Amino acid sequence: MRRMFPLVLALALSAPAAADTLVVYSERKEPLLTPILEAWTAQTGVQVHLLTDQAQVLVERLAAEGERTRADVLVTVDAGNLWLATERGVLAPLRSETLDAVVPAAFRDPDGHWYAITERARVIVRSTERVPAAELSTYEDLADPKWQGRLCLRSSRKVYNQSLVAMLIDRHGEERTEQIVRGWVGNLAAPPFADDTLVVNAIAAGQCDVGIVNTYYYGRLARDRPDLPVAVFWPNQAEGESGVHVNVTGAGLVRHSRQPELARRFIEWLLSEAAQRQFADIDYEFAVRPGVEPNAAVAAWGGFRADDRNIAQAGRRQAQAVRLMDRAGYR
Amino acid sequence: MMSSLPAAAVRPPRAASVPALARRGLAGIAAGLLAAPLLLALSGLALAWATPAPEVWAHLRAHVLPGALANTAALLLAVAVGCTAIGTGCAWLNARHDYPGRRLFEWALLLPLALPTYVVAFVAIGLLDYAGPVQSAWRALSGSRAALFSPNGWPWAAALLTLCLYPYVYLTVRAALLRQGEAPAEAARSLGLDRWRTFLRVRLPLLRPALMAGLGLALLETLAEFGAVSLLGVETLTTAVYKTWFGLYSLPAAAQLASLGLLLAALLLLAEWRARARQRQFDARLRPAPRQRLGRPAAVVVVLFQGLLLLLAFVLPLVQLLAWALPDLSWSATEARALANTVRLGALAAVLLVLAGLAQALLRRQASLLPGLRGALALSTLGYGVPGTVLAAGLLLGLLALERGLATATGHGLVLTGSLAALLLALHARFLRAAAEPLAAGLALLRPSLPEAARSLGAGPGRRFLLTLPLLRPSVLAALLLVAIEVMKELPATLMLRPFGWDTLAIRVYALTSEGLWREAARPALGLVLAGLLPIWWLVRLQDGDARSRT
Repeated sequence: MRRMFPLVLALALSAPAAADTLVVYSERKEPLLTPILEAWTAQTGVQVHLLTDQAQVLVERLAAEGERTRADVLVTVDAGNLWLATERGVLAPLRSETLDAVVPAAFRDPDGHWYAITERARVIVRSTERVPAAELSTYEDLADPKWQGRLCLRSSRKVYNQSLVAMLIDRHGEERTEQIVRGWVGNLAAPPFADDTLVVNAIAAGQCDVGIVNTYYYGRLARDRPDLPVAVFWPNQAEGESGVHVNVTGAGLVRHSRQPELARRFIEWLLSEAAQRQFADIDYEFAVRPGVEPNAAVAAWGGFRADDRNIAQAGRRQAQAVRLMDRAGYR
Repeated sequence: MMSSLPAAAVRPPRAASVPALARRGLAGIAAGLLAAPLLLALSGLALAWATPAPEVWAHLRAHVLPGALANTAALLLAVAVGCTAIGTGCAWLNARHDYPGRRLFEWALLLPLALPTYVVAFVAIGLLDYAGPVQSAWRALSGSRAALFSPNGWPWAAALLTLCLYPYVYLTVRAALLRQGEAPAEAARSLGLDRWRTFLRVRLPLLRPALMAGLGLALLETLAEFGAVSLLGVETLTTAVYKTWFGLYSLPAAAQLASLGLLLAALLLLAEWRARARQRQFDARLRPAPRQRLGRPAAVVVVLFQGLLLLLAFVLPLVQLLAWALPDLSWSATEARALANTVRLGALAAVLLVLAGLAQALLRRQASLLPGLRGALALSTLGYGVPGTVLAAGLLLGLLALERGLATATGHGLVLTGSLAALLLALHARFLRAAAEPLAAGLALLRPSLPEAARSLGAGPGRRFLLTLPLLRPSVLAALLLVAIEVMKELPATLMLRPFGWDTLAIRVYALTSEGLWREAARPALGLVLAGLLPIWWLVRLQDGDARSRT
């Protein structure tokens, strides 16, 4: 609450009429964002207009709107989209010591074009009936022939897989990564699925033994079915390995925002303790702000070390990753 | 009397009352206006289109296009065969025969139109994949752990799309059958043709315009389909367009690839127009065709077949949605607003598009007035086959450029984007065809003797048009309802061009399903189905009333 006081004061002193609304373009889906926006409005009295669409569409829209845009903040899932928005020049660098102090270096643009507001971990899930945790080690290891006919994956069309492969390329180079992806494809027990939920269900039903999914899909299923015979495995944790692949939802200041100050305060507020607590509880995601613990259900899966390579690389290499997956026959 | 004559023989002589030049000018302007929204969308993409993307294309050629084109071709062919067989078969059974339960089936067979294809696809996967109830039951019975099949690949997508899209063919062919008399078939039989040959040589050719109209809609929907085919793991031309933009980050290559889809849509349209131009047929109002009563064994087979069809295409998906939604059926204020918006948008777009469609269909009959008129008219309906996202993005970019240009030139800003007007322009570009086809099919059935008689009595063109309107009533209503149903289900254009904070049910469903929240999406999806049911029920009532009023 102490943090709120200067904020309210600043608003009371400075806000012109137009500053009563903030326009947010977002690819984070409404049900996972609206409760947090409502909390901001309740605290500050500033209304938020939300326009949701696919990130690439929003970026093209911002580019075409140029100086005439009404948007102040861009919020989107996936670091690739944030990188693209930066490349396309629709975001302005936000110089905020508060944000630099709160957001780990791997999860923000080095120049401050965007900052992560939540983290999503992409992990291995295993059948608790057929796969002891000791049998698993890394994403790369899932290419090993011992997993032949035991692996389930989601379609390569999903950006979560594209960014995972992009980060593998960044670490191992294209040749080695293509071998890994070809190994995965060779080990598939079924054609790639349309959805992470289907992957977890397939493991539970016995179609396959292991898969790669985002934790929140698993979290929702485990909530509905406490006896789900599937568990999370945190991959790549050993010394010298990459750590868990973590993608982000991030926010950035729109270059031609007419109220950059308000936008900055909004983004800083998204990383406040209260908002971060809400993000951690809303859908089994992870807070970005150090010290905000995951909710109890997520904490029960144990702690992990995340990949500390800057996630913007996933965007830089995404097209490369898509081409590689096409070549390797990963549909 | 029904007759099938070469077009030239019945074309009325040029009207002398209105100066030909003015008529041509008006026709040209009208055609230009009709095509304008699509042209604006294409010009929005033009800049991107002109940017070469050789690297992306090299990749697409080597690794994406061969499979995507083969899948698209297979899908189109299979859906064409499936929809023709099921749609024409059911129309024939229900328009010309009688059996217990016909009144129910007659309208219920249209119900699958109310379900968005991607919802059906998701339900099908849930039921049919390894973890679903069908295969789980099989494993429990057989003791085998192996998968029976995987609901993945183009044959599954073709089966599913046939189930979702056959109603277009059923609708148009049924309407034609209700209006056609028995005279030609009787004549054929009196000349010695057996039933089967009569069907092949007389009835089927007479139905061709209606069949082509319905099939054209079904095939263009197939071509532009994204949700269902990607859920079923099929790479098509349209999914390749999405991948190129969203995965390979190349809007230029995506726009170029989408123009390939536009070309396919144009070819389909040409084929349809050719089929229709070769013949004209006229309404025989002398005698409505009698219904033939089916014998008991035949009636049982028909009821079982149509029952199974409805079970798969409508009942099962609906039951699954209900099962998901049942724990909490209470509507939030947001959802109620979304429902109201959905219905309002559907109604508004239907009225506007039917007016435009009427203009389009009438102009088509005057295509000889002006060179290039036919081309402009063809262009105006091509948007139906273009992936919705690409079309909407093109329009958005085109509008923004237009607004920028106007603001610079005049000093006054014009804000179309984010208004309902922009969305309506997009819906026009995308769905004009759904309005124009039933209307053109209806116009094709009008006897030219009618306006000729009116002309001989001194009626001008406007008067003559008003005279034909009551005769077009069934087609106008069919067009209205078809557009309303389409618009209510529409997603990409509504998503991109809607006013701030203005949601429809389709958008609610999308927002939830794209995060995998299918259960939560069930309630708005049910609302969408319910909103679509009313027009469908009405549609059939009207066709029936029309057929009865002739006796």
